[in-house]
Amino acid sequence: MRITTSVIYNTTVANLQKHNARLLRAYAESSSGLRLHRPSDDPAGTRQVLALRDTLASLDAFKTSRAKAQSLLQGTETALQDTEALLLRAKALALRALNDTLGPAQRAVIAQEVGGLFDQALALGNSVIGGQYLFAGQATSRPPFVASATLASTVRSATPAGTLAGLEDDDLTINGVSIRATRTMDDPLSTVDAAASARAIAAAINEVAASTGVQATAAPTTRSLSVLYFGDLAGNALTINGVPVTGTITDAASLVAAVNAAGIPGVFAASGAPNNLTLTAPDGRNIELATDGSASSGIEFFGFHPGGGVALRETTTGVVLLSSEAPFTLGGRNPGNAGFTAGPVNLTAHFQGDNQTITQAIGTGQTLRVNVLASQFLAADLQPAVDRSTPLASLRQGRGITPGSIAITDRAGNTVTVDVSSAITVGDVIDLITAAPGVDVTATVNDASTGITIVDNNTAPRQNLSIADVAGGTTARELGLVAHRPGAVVGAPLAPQLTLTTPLHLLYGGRGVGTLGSIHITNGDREVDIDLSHAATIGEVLATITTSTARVQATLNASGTGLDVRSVDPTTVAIVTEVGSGQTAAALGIQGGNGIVKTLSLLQEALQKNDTRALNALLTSLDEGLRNVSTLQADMGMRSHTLTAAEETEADLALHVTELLAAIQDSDIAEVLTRLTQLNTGLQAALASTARISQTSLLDFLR
Amino acid sequence: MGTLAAILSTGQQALLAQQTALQVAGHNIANVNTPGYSRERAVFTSAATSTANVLRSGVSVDEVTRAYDRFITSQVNVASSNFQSTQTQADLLGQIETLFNDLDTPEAGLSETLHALFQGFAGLAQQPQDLAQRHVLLHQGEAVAGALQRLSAGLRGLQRERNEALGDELARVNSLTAQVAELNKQIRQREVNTNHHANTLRDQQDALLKRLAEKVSITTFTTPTGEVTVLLNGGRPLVEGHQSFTLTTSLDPDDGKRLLVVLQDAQGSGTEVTTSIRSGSIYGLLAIRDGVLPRLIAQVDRLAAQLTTSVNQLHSTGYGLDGTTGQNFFVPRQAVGQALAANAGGGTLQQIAIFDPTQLTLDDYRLTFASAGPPATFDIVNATTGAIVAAGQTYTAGATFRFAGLAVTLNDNGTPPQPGDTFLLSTTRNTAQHIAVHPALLTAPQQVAAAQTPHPGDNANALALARLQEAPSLDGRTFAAFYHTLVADVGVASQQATGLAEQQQAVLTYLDNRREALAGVSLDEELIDLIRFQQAYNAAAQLIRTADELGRTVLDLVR
Repeated sequence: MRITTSVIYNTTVANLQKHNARLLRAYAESSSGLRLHRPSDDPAGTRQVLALRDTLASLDAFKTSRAKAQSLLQGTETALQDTEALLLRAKALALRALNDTLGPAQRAVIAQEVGGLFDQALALGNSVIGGQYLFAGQATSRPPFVASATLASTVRSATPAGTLAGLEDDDLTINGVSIRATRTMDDPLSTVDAAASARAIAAAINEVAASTGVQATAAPTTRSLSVLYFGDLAGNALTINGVPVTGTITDAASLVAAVNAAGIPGVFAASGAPNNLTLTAPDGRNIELATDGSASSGIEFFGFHPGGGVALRETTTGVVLLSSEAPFTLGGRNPGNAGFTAGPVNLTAHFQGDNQTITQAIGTGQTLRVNVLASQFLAADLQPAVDRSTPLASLRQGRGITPGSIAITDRAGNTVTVDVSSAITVGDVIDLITAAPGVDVTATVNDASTGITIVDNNTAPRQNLSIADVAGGTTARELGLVAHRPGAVVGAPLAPQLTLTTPLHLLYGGRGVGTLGSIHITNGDREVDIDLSHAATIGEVLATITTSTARVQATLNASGTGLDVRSVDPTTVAIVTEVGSGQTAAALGIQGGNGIVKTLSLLQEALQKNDTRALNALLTSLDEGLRNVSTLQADMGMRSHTLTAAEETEADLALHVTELLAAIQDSDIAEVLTRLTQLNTGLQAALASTARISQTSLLDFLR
Repeated sequence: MGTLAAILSTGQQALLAQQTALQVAGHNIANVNTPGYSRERAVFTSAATSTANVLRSGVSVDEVTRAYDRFITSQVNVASSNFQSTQTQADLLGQIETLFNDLDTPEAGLSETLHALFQGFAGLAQQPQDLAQRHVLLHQGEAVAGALQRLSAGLRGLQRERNEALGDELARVNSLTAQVAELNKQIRQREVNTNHHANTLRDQQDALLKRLAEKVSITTFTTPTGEVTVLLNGGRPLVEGHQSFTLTTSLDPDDGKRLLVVLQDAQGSGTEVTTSIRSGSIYGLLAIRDGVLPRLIAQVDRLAAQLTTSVNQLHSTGYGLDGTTGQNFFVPRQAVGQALAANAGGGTLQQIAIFDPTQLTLDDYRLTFASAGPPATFDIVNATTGAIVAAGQTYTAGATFRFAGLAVTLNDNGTPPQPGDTFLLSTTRNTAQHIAVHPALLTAPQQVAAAQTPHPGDNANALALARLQEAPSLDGRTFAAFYHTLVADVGVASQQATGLAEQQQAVLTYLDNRREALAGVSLDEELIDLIRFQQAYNAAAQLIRTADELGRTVLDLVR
């Protein structure tokens, strides 16, 4: 090929430029220490580098989240240790108080120290770390335990009706303040014995609430009946609060239907078992059962025989609940006329947290439960789930649902306002929503049995399913239904309290308690085993315990999370323990081991009342409590271990990732410097040869 | 029969001829560094001096030719076309690459802000009650939105700049074609009138053609009359004889931001030739503007769209500290639609609404009318996958139909839609441009839904949102992996384009050298020529002196 002058020049210039470009890149690599500057330097490497940097940053972030989890775990462990120390102290005090040589005065002194332990237990229950209440479940923004002194009156009844005594002046004193006599006009709702009703007594007590510091409320009245034979009712064979109940009665369902069809003001019937009828007056009015004895069909209740040819009338009152923020004392000439007994009422705790666990991310795809639930050791919680029969009044931890309307717009765009004011149970709300005209939606209890789910049935949806409150209302929000969703609306948890009709299978979030066994009650000189195996509802459990020979009254506790068993004898304290190796008392949350706060309160009361039998029985509860706490401590140890293990794994991973990252993005300095030298030499050679070539020309030889 | 006078005359001719040759060599030496210069050669012809005899005597330079190979020249043109095309693409991809360069500037990059957002959700899970944590999270949400907006704006900016550059480039092409046409005229005048080779003009024209080829793909041929005709790919003429045709731009009727290339023909009517440009720097520019950039913009939009949907879907089912629920974290996606400009009927998209965000896909849809009816029918086609969503839908003016979470209302202005009329729908387009944290949250951070139940300590929703980081949400990849792949893709494209440009440069260099070998000036050669012609000149002078001496001898005889 013919080589022309410009070819020579162009080629040398191009080669020099190539050399310079390579040198520049080598310079950049050696001066920055990085091999990658632009994605095109190594596209695959770039992707790896970016992903590895993400991983490294994630690992870094997990460090802070582990530190947070660590602080929560440590706070919990400390609280558990303190609780253990407190229980050991309580047990030592109980053992000391059991010494026969001690008298009531010395035990009263010990009772004061136990009162201090109770306060400590409450403070532990309200432990705070980083502005967060440790034992409140997910309700971390308010103290889970609120101390209050509460007392429930016993249910009173009279046969014949109309003979039940109300309060006379000075029959009852609270903190030394006398309560006035009750009058018929105090309770316009009760049809008989109005002056003795829970409503009348509560009204009289509340008149002086400012000076006693004690508030009274009338709890729902209940009257449970066991049916021996079913048969038809006609005429006045059965009247309830003066209203006749008639109909063809073949089973519990038809009996319930007949009672509810009679339209008795304020009284409703329900049944939890085939031979059971429970009458409830939610407003606490008296329930009067009467018969003229004329039933020809042979219907017969336990202790109440409409067909017996004998007229019979009986009254049942509701329960008066007293509550105060401070301990108080009852006295008076005849407190029994209000269903109370004289004596001190100690502080107990009211639990207002929940049972939700909190988890934290502690590593890649690894989470850890960081909280311990108060219901595992401090305060038993039976955690009822929601079903159709759950009364609306029990929802939202007993705050209930404001009567009102819900606006529903289904996915076809149809709107309806559903008035749920008439609803009494969750099932009523569900039926009203499902039957709402114009919209095509179906309401059910959600799968987790915590709330209501509304499903849209429109096959050609054109918009979101929208549930809202009507102007000014809060009903939909309280039912957890306010939403605007392209699909089913899954309502928020409704947090029901226990009610008498709560079936046992709904307890513990719907897991239930299976078939109950027996419990043992120590009350003064009575040692009674009570068989609860036939009970299907909380009400039946309570009734069985109350009607036993143990002389106790079983009620729902004030926060609606568990049961209380109290002696009706003012001088004794009733203590529940297991029978043998059974778990029935524990399952019902009345055994004391998973309700340390209440156990301490009972211990204080037993000391005050000088009840050594109760003290003895309480030792079992305290031991159960210690066992629960140490189980939890072991659990915390496991979690700490998991956390440490995660920390080590992540540290190893971080090291590995860092190495990998360095291997991809960092330049190999030795290699780069060698290359730099090589390129430099090459450039010098190129420059030298260029100079040589450009000098060589025919001109040089023609001179 | 020779005479002394004839010898003198021969000598004189030889002197003149060698002088011309020396002049040509001098011309070559002078132009040794002139680009596109073709080496010239004086062509000697032995000539008869006397008309009486057929004896050939003497020399003449009849023409000066230039070293020229049509094939190499056109190969060089094609190679520089290809080189300019790949070089332009490599340069532009280098610019695009800087937008995706999370390696060097990670702080504001999408990779790091995206990661920070998910860490923000994880941080909220640690302290679901903390308002400060919520502020941090919202700030991180804004950072992600900002990074997506910047990326999208950067890509759109490049696209807009390419539009502006297109106008400039076409103006240069028009100037070049005008000059080529002008030279056609001059060359013809020179060569027809004077019967001389217009070597310099042809060299100029070749240089212009090379510069033209650098801009657009052309083919050229020379007519028997010596004029060069320049054709665009597809055979449309840019230069024909003395006339050149201009390239102008016009707006794409279906995309107001895109300029089309239009060739104005002799009758003054324009023909769209955008796709006829297949190489050259203008092709490089169009390939990036219409190929790479829209694809990247769409991918960034898809990322923004899926992020919006995934985060909102979880967030709206959660509960805020104040018990609110149903709140979106990002401003929800919007559906956009357009009627094609070519539609014959008066159909309009009256309304496009999203009625079910959970059903939304990342795909685009096309409604095409199949029959005029009445009633007219149309098909709904997934434009991304090509699948038919619903065929033979009956058209009713003002009626709303629903598919894939969209509620679309078609109407018309009185003229019903005609077969072939098409409407485009998208729920991802421009999402990255408009993504933002929902303004309601910025004023009420307590509404950030960390909880799945209305409990203040519940962090389950925040944990679920943080886990989105690991979820294969987009094309079976996580958000980060999707973006990293995008970065790597840009890197690969840039790397490949640079490599290709280097390769094309090598080809061009080789062909340039081949052309130079043929047409270039070698100084050594020219120096040898100088010596050669000088010696011939000396010899011719010697001939004249010999003739002179012969004459003297004859005169001395007479004396």
